[in-house]
Amino acid sequence: MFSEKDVQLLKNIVQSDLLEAIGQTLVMTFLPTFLAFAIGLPLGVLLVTGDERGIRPLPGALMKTVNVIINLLRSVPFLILIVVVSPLSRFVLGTTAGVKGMILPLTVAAFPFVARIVETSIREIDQGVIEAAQSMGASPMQIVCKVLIPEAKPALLSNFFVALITIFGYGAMAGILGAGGLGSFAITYGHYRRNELVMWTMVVLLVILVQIFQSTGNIITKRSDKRIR
Amino acid sequence: MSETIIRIEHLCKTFGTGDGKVEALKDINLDIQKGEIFGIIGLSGAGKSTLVRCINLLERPTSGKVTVNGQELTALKEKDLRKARRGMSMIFQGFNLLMQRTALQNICFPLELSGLKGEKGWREKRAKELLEMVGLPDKADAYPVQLSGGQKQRIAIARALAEYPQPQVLLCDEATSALDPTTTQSILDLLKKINRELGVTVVVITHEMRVVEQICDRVAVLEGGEIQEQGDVSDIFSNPRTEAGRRLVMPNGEKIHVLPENRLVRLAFNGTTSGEPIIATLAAKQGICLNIISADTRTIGDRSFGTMVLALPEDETDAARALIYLREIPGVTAEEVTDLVQ
Ligand SMILES: Nc1ncnc2c1ncn2[C@@H]1O[C@H](COP(=O)(O)OP(=O)(O)O)[C@@H](O)[C@H]1O
Ligand SMILES: [Mg+2]
Repeated sequence: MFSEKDVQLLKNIVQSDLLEAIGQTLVMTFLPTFLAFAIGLPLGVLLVTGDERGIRPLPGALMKTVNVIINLLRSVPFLILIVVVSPLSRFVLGTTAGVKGMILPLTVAAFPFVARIVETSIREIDQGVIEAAQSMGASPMQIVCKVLIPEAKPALLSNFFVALITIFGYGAMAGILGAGGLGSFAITYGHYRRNELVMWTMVVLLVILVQIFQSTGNIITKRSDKRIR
Repeated sequence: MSETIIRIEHLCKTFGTGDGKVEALKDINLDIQKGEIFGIIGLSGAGKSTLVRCINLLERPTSGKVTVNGQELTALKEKDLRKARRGMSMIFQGFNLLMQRTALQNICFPLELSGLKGEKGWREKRAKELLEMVGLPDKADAYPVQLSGGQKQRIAIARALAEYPQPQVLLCDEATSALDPTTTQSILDLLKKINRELGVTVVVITHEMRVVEQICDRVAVLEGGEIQEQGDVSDIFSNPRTEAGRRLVMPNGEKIHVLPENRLVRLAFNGTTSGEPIIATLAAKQGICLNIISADTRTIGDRSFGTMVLALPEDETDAARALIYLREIPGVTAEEVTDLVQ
């Protein structure tokens, strides 16, 4: 089914570069996810607390601006965003190529999405619980740290893995632009060089990784949620 | 014992503006005494929750003054208000426990908020004492999802009392409305115990007459955002002076047109006869008309069980004839009522 040459190339890749490619894929997945949460978590919390009915309302104009920016960033297709963010990446990290060059675009693409899912997770919390905390004299900061985030923890964890898998997908897509990792292999060897064996091997590897992320996520989320049982 | 702990003066609360404006509270004046159990009763939408939320200022009044323990809350800044709120606490219809914390951790929550320092494990120690007091010493490590409604409310009560020093006021917004009658009874007993033993002033918001009847010393009747009447529970219940009061005291909520001079008679049916035809027969045979004031009867087949209150005619002789007639019906006991308890 596959030619001798195909098999040989796959062997070479597996022996020399595969581990490195997997490593690159993992870096391109986890690092931007953490960075996106570092920005998106406080932002998402702010979207809830700063609301006119929130625990610490902020000026309506400010909230509107933030919302518009988030929506704008979310509506730009990822590949175009990479091109747009490139100059910034060059300025901050000194490069637009390879794994390093992809970190910033991936983060910029992911944090608005993360902010929205954090917002949704936190809005799910029963208003009555927040009110109970207020009736006990909790400050807005205490409510965020002791009520909103701990109570939303299962939803946040679950969404962390949703974000992780989404960013993983972006990273693989970025292979088109020579980002490195499994996606890059699939495209350069598999698609451009018409080596179907390599391409499908990479695709299977990507699928397996997604399955691992999702299963791990399910277990961790379930374990953390005290509402189940 | 007649020291005012909560004073509400000319309190108004309006939600929204323009066409969508809702006047939820209109010129409320109320004095609640230290150590009493005070009831606020009203039908749904009367403004009860808004009123109780104005006491700890979860809701800012549109105008008026709220003074608790000599401190004018309406004059405080947000930060001082948060401190003042620690001196009173609140329990809710929906319990509002933190779902990701155990019972013990829930009770520790207010102690964590106030940031008081103490020897290691002092919060847990205090929380355990409170668990003991609410009768759930073995539920320390249970999560809310593993508890029944009544148990959740007990944990919420323990949490409400956990603050150190102990809060002097406990506000209860429909605290038993989500519970079955037996559980309601046990929670009411617990509230009573807290009031008697710890001297906590309790404000009970409810739409159920039964709750007020069981534990309150005094009661205010709220309707349409206004206090219709207030006073000792026994007074209001035996002799409601306002339409709103009567509506709550008479569970059937019918509009009554009784003149003070009308004598009333209560019929009790033991199931051997039927209700409505009696009145029809009386009208047909004797030419005497009786008004049904309230009826709490069930008909099974053609038999009636329960009680009915009728107004006798103003004419003395007619009234006497009607009474004699009613007393002669088998399976019915008729007695005159001098007050309107049900
Ligand atoms: N946040 C709010 N915004 C607008 N209207 C409100 C708000 N809260 C309560 N109301 C209105 O105020 C009135 C009294 O409500 P509430 O105090 O909840 O009554 P109760 O607790 O007696 O059922 C109702 O008409 C309700 O619709
Ligand atoms: Mg209510």
